[in-house]
Amino acid sequence: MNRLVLAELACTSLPPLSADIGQGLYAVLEPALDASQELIAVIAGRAAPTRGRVTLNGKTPFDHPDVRASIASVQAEEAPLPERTVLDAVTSTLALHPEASPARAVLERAGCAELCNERVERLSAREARSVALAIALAQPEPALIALHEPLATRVDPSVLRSALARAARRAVVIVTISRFEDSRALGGRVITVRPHGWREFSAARLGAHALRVRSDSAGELFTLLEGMPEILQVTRVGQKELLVHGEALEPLARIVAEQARRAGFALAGLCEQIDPYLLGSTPGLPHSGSQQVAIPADPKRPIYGAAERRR
Amino acid sequence: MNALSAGVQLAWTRARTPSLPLLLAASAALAVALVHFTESSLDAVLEGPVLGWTLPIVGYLIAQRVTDNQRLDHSLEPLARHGADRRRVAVGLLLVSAALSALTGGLLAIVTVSAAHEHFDAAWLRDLAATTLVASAAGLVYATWFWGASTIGRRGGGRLWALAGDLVLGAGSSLFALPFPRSHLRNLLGGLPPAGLSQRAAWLAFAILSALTTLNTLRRLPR
Repeated sequence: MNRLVLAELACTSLPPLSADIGQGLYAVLEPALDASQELIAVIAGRAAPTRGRVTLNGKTPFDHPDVRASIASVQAEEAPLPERTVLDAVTSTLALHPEASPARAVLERAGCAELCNERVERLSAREARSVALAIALAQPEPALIALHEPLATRVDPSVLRSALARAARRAVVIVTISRFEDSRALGGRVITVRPHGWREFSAARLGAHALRVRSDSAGELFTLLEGMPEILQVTRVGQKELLVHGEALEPLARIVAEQARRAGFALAGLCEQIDPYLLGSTPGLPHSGSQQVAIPADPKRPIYGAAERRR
Repeated sequence: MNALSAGVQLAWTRARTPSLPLLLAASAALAVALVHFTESSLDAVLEGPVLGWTLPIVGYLIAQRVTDNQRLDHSLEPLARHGADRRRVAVGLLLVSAALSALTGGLLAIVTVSAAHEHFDAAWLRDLAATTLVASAAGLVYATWFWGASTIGRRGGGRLWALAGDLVLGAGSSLFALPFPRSHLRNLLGGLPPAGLSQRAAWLAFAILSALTTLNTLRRLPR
């Protein structure tokens, strides 16, 4: 059984973090690129943490080559080995994993077959990450898979989903995602990074309605809204965005608007989120998307009445 | 494939650019031009522009290429992330840069000595053997020197400091010149010795410099 332990882990852009994670798929919702990159680098043994400790099955990946051999990872920026073609680069990389499939098969399986004869230096950033993801998914029996934004590649999402679901039966699979929808779409458990620990996003607390709130003060607004009884759950879904869950739309919108007004935070947008991934009752929804509603100057005027009637 | 051979392959792939043979050809042409068109003696040309300046600069450029212009430990990541031992990969990188630097030194020595002699006689052969040996050994020392210096700085900027230190402080003959390969190379070529060291001591200094740099670099690298 594979186990990843983070003990008071601290990095430049991450709050101190402790967690004990068994096998399974975890989508870590982390809007900040630096923090996401650093988390993947540290748990994959590609960088040493500033403070604290990361262990995979009792050993630190950074100091143990045998542990790193059982880790597949993809960072925000990837560069294949400096060979002539992508196929050569993948072949050279897979030489370090003797049990892996041949390079061409690995690229074909990930839907990147057309990159085989492409010159390595001509790859775009997205293509380079796709090649790295193809290699990561080809690694035989990894103990840990750590991926940064795997949906932002050329790899087919359905191939990725099934590969990750399969791997999660035996390995710890950690995926960092900046878009909330992507984290839900990948399946598994959605985790948000909080100081001193990870918090699991509760699917039971999705409620019937969700509001996407845009504000330059999203972080401060998050703190204000978090403890309110009418709000089932608040999640940061971007640098300047929150997703606020509740049972009734109008009170939800009113609370958000009132709290923002009281604290003097400007709201750049308030949308009803009707994406099936984001609501408790997914079946029967006519469509997904979001609907922007203007926030009235008069605090007594209904905010979402018109939008609800339209639905 | 083991980590050492993977390191050798990675270093060779990085170093194998058209600029390397061009650089060697330009250095050789410069050596010939200096011998023919200046009134300097062979010793002065070897100690000064050819082995005193060109060899360390080419050694520096080789180290830049082999480490992909990064700090040494970062340059190993493409293989280390897949479970290769960083120290073994680093030795692979050192082997390639040492071979290329020694080859550069040897080539520069052969070209310069041959250009300076009118006849390919016994004197030429004697000069050639002695100079090629010293120049190749100096190439090896420079390779370990820049390889070790690559562990310093965010992007391996220690390499540039090592080069500057060698060119400036290594040119002297005081105690400060002792840690720099250039002073011992000059001694072995028959020039002014640093701190009055003998030529035998210069060979020993080469060996100690290389061994200390290698061991210290390997000790500093995580596995």
